[in-house]
Amino acid sequence: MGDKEGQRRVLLKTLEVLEKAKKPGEVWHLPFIWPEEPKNTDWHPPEMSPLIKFYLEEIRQARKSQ
Amino acid sequence: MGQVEKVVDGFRFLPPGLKAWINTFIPNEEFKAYIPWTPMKKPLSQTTIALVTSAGINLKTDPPFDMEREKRETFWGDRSYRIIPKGTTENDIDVNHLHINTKYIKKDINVMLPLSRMVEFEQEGIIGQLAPSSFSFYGYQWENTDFLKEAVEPISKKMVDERVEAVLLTPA
Repeated sequence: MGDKEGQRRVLLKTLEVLEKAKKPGEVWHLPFIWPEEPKNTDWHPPEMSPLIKFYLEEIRQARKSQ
Repeated sequence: MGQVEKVVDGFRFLPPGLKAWINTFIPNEEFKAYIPWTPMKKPLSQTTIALVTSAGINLKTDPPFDMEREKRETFWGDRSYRIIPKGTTENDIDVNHLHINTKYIKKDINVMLPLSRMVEFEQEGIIGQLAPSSFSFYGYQWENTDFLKEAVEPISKKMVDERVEAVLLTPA
């Protein structure tokens, strides 16, 4: 939040893809790495979503089956 | 020695259980379906661009996306959309989404819908202009045909009216 320069850098690179992509399905790997480990990120909703609640047992089983 | 192709883990930020579950739905084969394609016709510096996000942003003066019905009906997602005018800031909006943490968007709209950055680019001549309207919908959809008719079709018409030539989607 409030990282204007970071937002500008990411957006400029994204717009470059828009301008320079030559074919459908083209993927560009941009030179940005999120600075936090996944377990330290805070993108989850404060409450479990209804969908996840509904499938919670299946999700647990999928994890066990790995 | 040849260049090693970079491999990105698209599930890196998902909890392991959710990653494993979602993987059970994804075929273990290369995607081969048709992808519509329209190359850019002009340089960015002459192009009118609109932003679209699936983050469930609404103006405080508009109704919020309906979270209560989704809580009652697990497989229903609000199919409406909202217009987010150029110049909108985090002070003007609310955000409703049951699948993400919305607090960052409420503090800085640009983390999701970079309206301020696009206006800066317009002023600097990097893009032609940001269109008068950007758009927000709710990215949890099950009835896709209805969603296309109720949201995407009117959004597209508004974009044509505003002579939008390119769209940047920021998914939530």
